[in-house]
Amino acid sequence: MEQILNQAQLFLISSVLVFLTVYLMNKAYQYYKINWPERYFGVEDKINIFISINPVYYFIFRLAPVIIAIFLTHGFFYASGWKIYNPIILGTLTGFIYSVVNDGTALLDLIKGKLGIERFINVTSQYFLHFATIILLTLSGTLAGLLATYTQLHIILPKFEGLIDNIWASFITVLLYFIIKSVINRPESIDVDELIIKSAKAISRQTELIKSIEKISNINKADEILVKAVCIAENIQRPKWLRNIENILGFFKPSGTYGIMQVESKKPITDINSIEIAISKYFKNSANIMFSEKQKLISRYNPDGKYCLLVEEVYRHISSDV
Amino acid sequence: MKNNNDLRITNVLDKSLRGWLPVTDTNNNKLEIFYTTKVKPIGQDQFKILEGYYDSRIIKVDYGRIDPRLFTSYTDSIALKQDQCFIFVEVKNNKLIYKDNEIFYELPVVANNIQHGTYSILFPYRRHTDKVSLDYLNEHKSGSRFAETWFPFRTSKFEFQYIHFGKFSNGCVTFIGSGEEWSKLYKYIISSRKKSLIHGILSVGSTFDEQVEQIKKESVASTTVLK
Repeated sequence: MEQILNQAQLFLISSVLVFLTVYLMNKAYQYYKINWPERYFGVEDKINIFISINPVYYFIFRLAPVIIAIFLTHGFFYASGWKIYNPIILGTLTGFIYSVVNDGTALLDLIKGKLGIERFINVTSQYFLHFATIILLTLSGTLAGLLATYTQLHIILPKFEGLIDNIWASFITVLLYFIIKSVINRPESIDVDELIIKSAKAISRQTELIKSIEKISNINKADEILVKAVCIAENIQRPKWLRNIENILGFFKPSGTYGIMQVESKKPITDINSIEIAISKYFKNSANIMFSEKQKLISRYNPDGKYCLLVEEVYRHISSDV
Repeated sequence: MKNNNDLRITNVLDKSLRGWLPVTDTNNNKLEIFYTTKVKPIGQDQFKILEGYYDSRIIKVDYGRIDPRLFTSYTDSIALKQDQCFIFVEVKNNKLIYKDNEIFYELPVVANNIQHGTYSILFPYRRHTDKVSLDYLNEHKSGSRFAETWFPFRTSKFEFQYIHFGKFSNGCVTFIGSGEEWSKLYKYIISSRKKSLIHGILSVGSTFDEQVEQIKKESVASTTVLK
């Protein structure tokens, strides 16, 4: 049973290695938009023209990348101690599969006369070229697999732990890059509407707060929209988590301003208590007055010019009657 | 049409809801009904719609789609301002004229390819979010939060055009003034009722005076409204 499992593991890892290498090599050529292998020596592509100059260039562009890719992947797995078949056999198989997927397909399309595949005047040379490339790529795989078995060459291969470290380092670098980029490129001004909506959402989630504002406003004939606008503005300046800290600090220094409406009190009070006090002190009977009068009330509550403008903006956000 | 203090949809004029209340009906269909729609409470949190395209449907407010929820209730007994509304479009002068609270408003419009005549301004049936860019809604850039509400009028048995806020016209009455002016016009129309499904009259013609005379002749409405 153990032997079967071992064999299965061997087969699985080897298969993954072969197909992963073939996939990566295809992707690498695709990335450079090289339309091989339909036409190696065409004149419409600069690279095609370049490799047609002499066989050394053909080797560099067609065979060397395959040798390097198979050596790196197979060598890495072999050197890291993964259970795989003999790298020479695997390298040969990888080279063969890769060549069949590419040149084999191109050869078949050429034989079938598929539309879109350009034929040379001397079509025999095209057949020969593809066939030769299949052999050369297979032999390249063999060579790469052989190189992967040389322990002297393992020194240039990454270790498994080293590879993982490198992947993490790359990931963190990219992440930091995007974070820094978004900070540097942040907009000059804050969208006020977004700020208001965020604060309004935080308040509206405290359903008792909205209910209390409406009830207390009704009793005191206060403009509930005005009170809500002040609450939202206050919440922008002093969010709940900060108010909670102030309440805790209030045990050490009792007198101060507390609650969502930041009213003066000798001891910490709840948001609802602060609303009661603020309405009674500043916003009573504001329900049916002109907006200009409401602006004066806001100013009495907090004379800061920017604060008053913020409250007005929130008011307009809630009510379109201004 | 007399306006008693009927129960109507309110508290939806903020920048998040922009004139439409999200509701669900008894089949869990997600709908939206517009500001001032007449409703009747029929149980805990349930209402019956009493006018418009969803007349007689039983609905519940869909609080899940209201965020932030700034009001505990979205209905109130309110009286509408007037009966039907009158909108006049002077095609050659590219002007829209209406009267509200004894004040005449003359506003810029584009109204291409509309035949002269009178039309019924119908209830809006949905938000036209797909037709509206974010700039149209941005009140800091002269937009209006009500830019998504388009008022249909029937130009033939199977064709509709709209009174709407925008820039281009191809058969529509396109309001090209400021967002603030559109918001006022929106409230004027949305608060009007001729009868169920109809807010009032759109008149398209050469000059305002000619159109008023025409309407008087056709006895479409009480002449006192047009003085």
